[in-house]
Amino acid sequence: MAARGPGDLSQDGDLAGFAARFRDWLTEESAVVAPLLAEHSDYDLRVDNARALRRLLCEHGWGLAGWPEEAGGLGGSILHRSVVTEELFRAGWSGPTVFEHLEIIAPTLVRFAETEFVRSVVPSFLDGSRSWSQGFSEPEAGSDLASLRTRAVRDGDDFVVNGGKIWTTWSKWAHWCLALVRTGTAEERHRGLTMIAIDLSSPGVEVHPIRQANGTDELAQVHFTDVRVPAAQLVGEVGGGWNVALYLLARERGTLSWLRHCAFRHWLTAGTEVMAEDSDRQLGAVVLQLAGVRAAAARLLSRAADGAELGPEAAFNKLLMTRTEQSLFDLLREVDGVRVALPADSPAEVLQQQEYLFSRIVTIYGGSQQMQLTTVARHVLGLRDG
Amino acid sequence: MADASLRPAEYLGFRDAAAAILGRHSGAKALDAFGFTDVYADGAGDLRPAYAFLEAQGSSCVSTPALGLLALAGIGVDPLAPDGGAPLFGAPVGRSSLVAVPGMTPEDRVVVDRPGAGLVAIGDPSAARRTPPAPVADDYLTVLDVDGAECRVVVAEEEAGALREGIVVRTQLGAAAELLGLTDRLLQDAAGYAGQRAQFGRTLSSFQAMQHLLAWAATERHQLACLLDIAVARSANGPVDPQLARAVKAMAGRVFHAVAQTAIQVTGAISFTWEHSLNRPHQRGMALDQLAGSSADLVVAIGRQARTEGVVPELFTLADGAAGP
Repeated sequence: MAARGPGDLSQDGDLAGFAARFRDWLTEESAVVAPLLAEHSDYDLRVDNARALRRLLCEHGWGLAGWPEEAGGLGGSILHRSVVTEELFRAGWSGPTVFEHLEIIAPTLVRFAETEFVRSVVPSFLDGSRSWSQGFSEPEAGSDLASLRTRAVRDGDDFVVNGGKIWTTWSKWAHWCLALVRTGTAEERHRGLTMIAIDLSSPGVEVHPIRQANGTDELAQVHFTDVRVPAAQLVGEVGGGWNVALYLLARERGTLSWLRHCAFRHWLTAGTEVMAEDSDRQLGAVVLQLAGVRAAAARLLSRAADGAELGPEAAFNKLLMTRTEQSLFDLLREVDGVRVALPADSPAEVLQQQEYLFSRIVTIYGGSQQMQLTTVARHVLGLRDG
Repeated sequence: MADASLRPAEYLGFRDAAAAILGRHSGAKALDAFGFTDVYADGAGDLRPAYAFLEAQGSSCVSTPALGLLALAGIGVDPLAPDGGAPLFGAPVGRSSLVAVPGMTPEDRVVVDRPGAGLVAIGDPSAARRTPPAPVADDYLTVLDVDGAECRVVVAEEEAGALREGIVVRTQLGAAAELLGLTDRLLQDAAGYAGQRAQFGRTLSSFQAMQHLLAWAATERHQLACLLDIAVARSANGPVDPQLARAVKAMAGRVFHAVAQTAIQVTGAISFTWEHSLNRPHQRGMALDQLAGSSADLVVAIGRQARTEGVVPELFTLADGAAGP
């Protein structure tokens, strides 16, 4: 009799067998799973479904596969998590909404936070009962992140945080914010930064959602006024925040591209229904771009699974991912502009319109396209100023 | 490219060994020194060394008949060549009835695919040779017009059908590996030039506009290396999915053209001279792009298939375990 549940999650385990078992489970549980994968124009409902899906996956072990035991997981690697992601998209999923942060923030917590803190917060992130946002950008610190001003001052066993963050994605629904704050002087630039986890229910925290151009309020501005944060919630060392940020950003720019490319395939496949012969060249070009994103993402996942440090090459993934996203939605607009540009009459159309507009700014988040190009030029090609 | 830690170490070992040989030898001598035919002496099981050789050949821009041999690897030399060495495959070019033979010498015998007839040997390849009216920048590919040429069937249609897919896959992957090598060559030369050439009292590479041009080129090249590595790793474990080989070849052509344009832009007017070091690899890559399906035609075919089938191909799975070093 074939093994049920996630089964062998060892490094040299049978990943294809794991994928097959998960597919079988999805089929067996389709009556429960399918409603959680369905598209909805109501964003709150999407988030609720994402939470319920995380809970269901964890109850059956699939959502714990690939996570270390101290995080409440069953062991395995990012490859197992990525297989689960891809199979969900194959089953018709349009995405995890707020839990897109899982692949960015949870590995960072596991790597840099105290084990006790990891044990106390990551399991509830995995099972969907709690979600996280990340506090990086500030009104006066965008691409020049090292100029940020939100300050944390040590006071006994706590840090006291004052300042504010902007463009903190999904803060409206988040329980925690992983924030990069200044503990040193402004002159120390990136050496004076520290990463700390802030409970968003703490006194002194205000979250103000920002209505975006696509009608959603995924982004927010967050203000901190004398917010006390236990030192046990430090993520990494005091003054070591920049390294933590680079680790996190390598996930946002790099390994996240696997999940995103699965979503791109979802949209492109749906789009083929309304395409005609005169789109073949452009469609073929986007399919090839998607293959490039997939191949580059697979390489990064493999390296991450092997425990390798993900260096500046994650910039390649971000560049490829975001260019493909824009090409894909350019194509969808060109073959069916009415569907993209005029008032929608179905949840799927609402989603597509939101995604189209979002695709216009993907070359900004997580480090702008220009920052990524500069990273490649300087740190991969070795080109220098002067 | 500084990505030695990102690509499969064994493959890079083969490539670097080939590069050292190609620095001293060309043609059959280079193949002998590498042991090229030993790679598939027992069949076409693991052709990674052959693809690595072709990548090195691209970056050194040396000519050998490796690609023509690779296409027929594992088919069995005896029935094809009872009277001499292994023949070379003449690969179809563009949409014409012409074929191109890589690294051909006057003594070489050539086999082409004639659907309906099978694999046929050209009686006198030299007689079918197109003679350019003017000097060519690169003579790596010999173009034959085999319409009307005397031919002898060496593998009948009934057996050729089963071989055809493998020939196309090997030709496409081999040409893609060579195009990656050529791409590397152009990118390295352009980046090197930008680091030396000064304008306005600064090196070209210090200008952000130049940095971003080269960074895009490196990004294009990165995705090709990633996809090629997956296909090459797959080739060691069985037949490669023809859709994957087609995608790799199509991407190789597109990436090559994009990087070549960047290299020309960065290098400036001097690159538009006959003798400039960029000219030969550029024209070689242009020609290779036409082999076994041009990137332009393959892209349309890829789009047509995705549209008519309503399926965007995944090409490989994470379970293939072939993505990393």
